[in-house]
Amino acid sequence: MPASDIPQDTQTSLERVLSYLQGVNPQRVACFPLILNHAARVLGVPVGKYNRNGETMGKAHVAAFRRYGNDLVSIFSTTSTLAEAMGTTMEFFDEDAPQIAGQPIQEYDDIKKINVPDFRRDGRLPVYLDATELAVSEVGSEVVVGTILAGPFTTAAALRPLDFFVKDLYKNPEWVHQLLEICCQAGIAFIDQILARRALPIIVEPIGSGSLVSPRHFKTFVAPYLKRMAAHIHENGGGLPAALHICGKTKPNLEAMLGADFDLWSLDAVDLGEARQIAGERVTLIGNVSPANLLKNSPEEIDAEAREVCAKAMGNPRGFILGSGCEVPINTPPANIDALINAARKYGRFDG
Amino acid sequence: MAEQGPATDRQPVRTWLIGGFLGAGKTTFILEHLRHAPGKVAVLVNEFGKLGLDGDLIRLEGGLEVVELPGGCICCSQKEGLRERVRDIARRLAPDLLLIEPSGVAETSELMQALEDPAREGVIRIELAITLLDAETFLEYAEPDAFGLFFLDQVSCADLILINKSDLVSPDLLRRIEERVDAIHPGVPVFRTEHGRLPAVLPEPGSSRGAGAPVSSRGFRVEAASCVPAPITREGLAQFLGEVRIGAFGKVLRGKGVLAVSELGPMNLQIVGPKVNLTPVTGELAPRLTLLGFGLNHDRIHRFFEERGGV
Repeated sequence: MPASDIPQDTQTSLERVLSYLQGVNPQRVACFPLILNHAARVLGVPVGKYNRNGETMGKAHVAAFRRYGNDLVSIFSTTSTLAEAMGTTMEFFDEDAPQIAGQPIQEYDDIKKINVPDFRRDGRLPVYLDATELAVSEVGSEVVVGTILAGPFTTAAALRPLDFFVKDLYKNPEWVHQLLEICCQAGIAFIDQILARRALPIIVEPIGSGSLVSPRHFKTFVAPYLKRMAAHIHENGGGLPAALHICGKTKPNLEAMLGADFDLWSLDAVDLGEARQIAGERVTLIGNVSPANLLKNSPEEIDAEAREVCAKAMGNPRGFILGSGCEVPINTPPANIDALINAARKYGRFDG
Repeated sequence: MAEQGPATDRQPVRTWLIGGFLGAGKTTFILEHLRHAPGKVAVLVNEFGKLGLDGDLIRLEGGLEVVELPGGCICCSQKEGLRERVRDIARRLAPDLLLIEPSGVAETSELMQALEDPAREGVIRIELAITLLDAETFLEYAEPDAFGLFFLDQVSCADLILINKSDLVSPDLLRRIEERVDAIHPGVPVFRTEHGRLPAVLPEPGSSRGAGAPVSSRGFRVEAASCVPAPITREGLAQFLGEVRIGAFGKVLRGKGVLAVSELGPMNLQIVGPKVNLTPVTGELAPRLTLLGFGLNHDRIHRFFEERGGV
């Protein structure tokens, strides 16, 4: 379809997203490509600088919103950022996201070293919060600004070597609950910091995917703590919804996820038609064009994939938002992000 | 270290995936394999110091390179990091064999999918996926609702299963483990190992099903042989399978690949123990063949196809 044939938006991003909260159909579905570290590319700064400077991170997301018109600004560095502020060490790269270099809990007794962080100084939390303030100040009247934080399970798994942590679920469940309690308290404190800056807290819990966690363990170790975070947002967010992102294979755990009481689910490697059958009466679904395809495929292929996703999820009773299944890869061609958002304009219409 | 030319000038790097949950003995198996492996071997591990060696890149006498696999995270955004690391190893180190030891919670199927691109580019050739199981804990952890998908995926995607620490459990428990493995992945070759080492007298796969065993004073080590097979006639294919059956190429446990059979077109060949499965290939796939087993006669395998035009 020539660019001139793509329907033009007459709603702003904020109006579009508020329609969902008001329970009315927007002009067309919103589109949340999870633009995270890719924002550095838009601003033209090294990814390493984006990750270590709040002003740069905030400006990068403002630049990305100005460039793409995405319906959610999502402030984010890694799923380990909260853990980093609690003792996990990171390795930084000029042109890639930081990665875990070492975890503070090697022995069970090391849990004594783990505390709720000081958000003014620990790790890179000030980077996140400065970026959030800048983005809200610059574009908060036009678009929802979200700040992403890891859920308790993912934070705990970043404080201890992952395979040890998974084995702990089986061998030392009481100790795991102790650790999750600290991580949950840290997460709730983070939510308060985000709400105080008039942004939307978005919880990501990738380690709770079906690849790693069975439904039984999800109900025992993941859902109860997520539920407390969702309740905290409901009680303190002034009407904001509770949003949860779990990437990877979530199908085995979809039923168990319902127990966490989130309003929005951002999903990755799962058929949204199946997710709709399980959760559509209770949850707004977000997703799920493949991130790998965003990196490798042509705009025409992205358009076709997004069209299929829309066909499966447009009729979801609690609503649907087109998006990427997970983080838009750093080096994604901008034309592919344009194609994804244009697909929402073409295939996600409610105005005729 | 001197930079070398692009990987495209070379043969694909033979690549093995060594999977298994925490404590199954992956590292022990790799160290044991390295004692005998000829040529230059690169090991891509999930974290620093995993092999008890210091540093992220170490050269040992005998040509071993150890490189860290970044992150240890299963999240999708890390897959590109893995692909880049593999390409970098092929380009800079050009090993004869690359052993990849992923995290104990990695899904083998995801890992193979992540490596499809470098395989398609001719940078690597994934010869086989070995999964080690901890005999002491496997049955407990293999309960359907114990762990996430990764645990059983490591079994169902393996070309070869090694039940390690077999000396620490009863014969009855070993039999039950083998039955459970066979239920998850019917027909997959299964061997019992101690300290990641196969026994000197090698029983048939399934171990309890009797001996049959070629004998080695040093203990056996797993081998794989790969080639690009030339187009072959149906008669030639029957001859090849006959030679596999009688052990002319060594003890073949597993075979897989794509053969161009003159009367049939491209065919997917799967050999699992005594069973042979041949199905038509749809799409364009280049001919290739990998045999996995013990005491493989690499020269004879290559010669069989060279005489028919392969390399």
